[in-house]
Amino acid sequence: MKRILVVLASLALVASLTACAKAPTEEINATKAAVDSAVAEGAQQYTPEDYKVVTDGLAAANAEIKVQEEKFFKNFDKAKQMLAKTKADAEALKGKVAQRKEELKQAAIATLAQATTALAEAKDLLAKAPKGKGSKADIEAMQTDLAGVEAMLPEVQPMIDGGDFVGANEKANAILARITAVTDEVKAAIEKKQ
Amino acid sequence: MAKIGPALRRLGAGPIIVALIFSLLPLAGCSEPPLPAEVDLAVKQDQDLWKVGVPRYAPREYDEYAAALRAGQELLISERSKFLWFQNYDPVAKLFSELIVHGEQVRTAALTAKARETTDLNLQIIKVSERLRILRDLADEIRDKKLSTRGMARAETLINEARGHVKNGDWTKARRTISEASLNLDGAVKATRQSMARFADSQQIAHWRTLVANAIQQSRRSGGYLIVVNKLDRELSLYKSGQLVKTYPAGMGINYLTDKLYSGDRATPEGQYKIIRKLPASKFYKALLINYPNEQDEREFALAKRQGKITKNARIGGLIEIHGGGTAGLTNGCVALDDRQMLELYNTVDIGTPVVIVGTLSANNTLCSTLDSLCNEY
Repeated sequence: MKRILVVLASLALVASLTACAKAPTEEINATKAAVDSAVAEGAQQYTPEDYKVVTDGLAAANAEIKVQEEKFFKNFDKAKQMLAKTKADAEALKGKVAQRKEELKQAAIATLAQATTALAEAKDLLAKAPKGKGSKADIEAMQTDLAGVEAMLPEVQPMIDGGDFVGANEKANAILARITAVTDEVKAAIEKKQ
Repeated sequence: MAKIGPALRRLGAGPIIVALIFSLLPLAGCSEPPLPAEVDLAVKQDQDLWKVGVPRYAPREYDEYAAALRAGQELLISERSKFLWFQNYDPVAKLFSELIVHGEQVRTAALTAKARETTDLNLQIIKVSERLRILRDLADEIRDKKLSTRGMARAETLINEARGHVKNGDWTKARRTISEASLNLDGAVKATRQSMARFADSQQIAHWRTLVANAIQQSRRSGGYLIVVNKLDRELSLYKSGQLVKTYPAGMGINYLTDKLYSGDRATPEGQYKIIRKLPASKFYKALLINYPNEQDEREFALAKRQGKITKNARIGGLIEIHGGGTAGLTNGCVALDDRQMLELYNTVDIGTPVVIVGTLSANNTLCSTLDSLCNEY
């Protein structure tokens, strides 16, 4: 009887020591994959603050695992919770990045379309402008200006195609601003003539 | 209770007590004391530093800080890994406290770098914009197509783009865009300087001066009228007996600073001419037709054709006049005056009056000095 109790107590001891002993490898890998996926989507570039949160979350979970691995009595429950949260955050972030990219892409496409339309309108306006003695020089200068800006328009689409949506938007906006300025000059020249 | 003691003793209580103690130990190990407050503060500070863009604005300083933070976290892991009774968080608290101070220093360095870089980029933008403004002003004043280059429009658009990049804090793109704008402007200035080289050529200017001086001398000798057209100054001067009578503002074509070579180049010819016909009812009020092309023009035209500078089908053109219609517009190579002044000139001069057309008489003319300043100052 005495021996049986000793064996049972020893088994209980071993069980208590080994109950939480395995590092959550599967969860680690899954979380890391989710974070990597968000990073690959462009999290660092498009949502830097959220990127920091998930990478810090992963680092904190890894630190917790490291702590537990060093402990005599291991318990990975907290690490698992942290990993689960980070994984969920990373998965949500991937979607958020994709959405942000799409927003920026659409904004760049819209600005490019606006610039293209504005250019066509400016050219049309310039063609209709009375080329009298008083405005001919101005109109020629404006035509050169427009030609210079027009040559820049084809640079925007490759930037969009290459994923540089912010850069594409800035370029398209700058082109649009210049076209608008020329259009205003054309209108002023027409008014002056009338 | 008194009966349990002997019973346990009979069963061998020693191993059971030891087993129970060991079974309870993990429970004791799970209830860690709270971490020092500095740890959480440092983690939050790091996120805040990231949020305000510290890694972008002070990358070297942030890397050092991040390395120190990692070392702190290693120390924390090491302490947390110890058996509960041996844990000592005082060094951790101290280290993280120092990290918070370090983080604030990094923040200050980043904000300083950001302000410095933004100021520097804005200054660069102002410099390029100023060069562009000077060139634009020159173009507005000169109104020659060589000064109305696409490079200027491109530079202006790039400056707008660079402003956007600075606003977004994208210094790399801002620097690249400013540099591109500057290069475009350099190209525009260089191209203009090349095409306007004649106006900085002392020999050419001396030749123009001689032409005018000789014509004035001739006018003095003959007592007759002389018309001198200074293209760069856009002025027509009337002389009588070698004395300046009056100067009128003159309008010309979009390519007026070039010496006329062929029909349709919209350039104004340079050289010695004379009035060969007076047109009282011209398309442009009244007109004085000059003898373009003269022999010199014909020689130059033939040479240009031989050298392939102009097409074989090109014609030399003609019908170059001094006419009315106003100075604001563009001619196709003629010299235009306001109608009232045209009437005055028309009524003053006769057929045969010499007309000398030159590029400029000033070695330090506006065009060259401005283009020089655009090249030398920056």
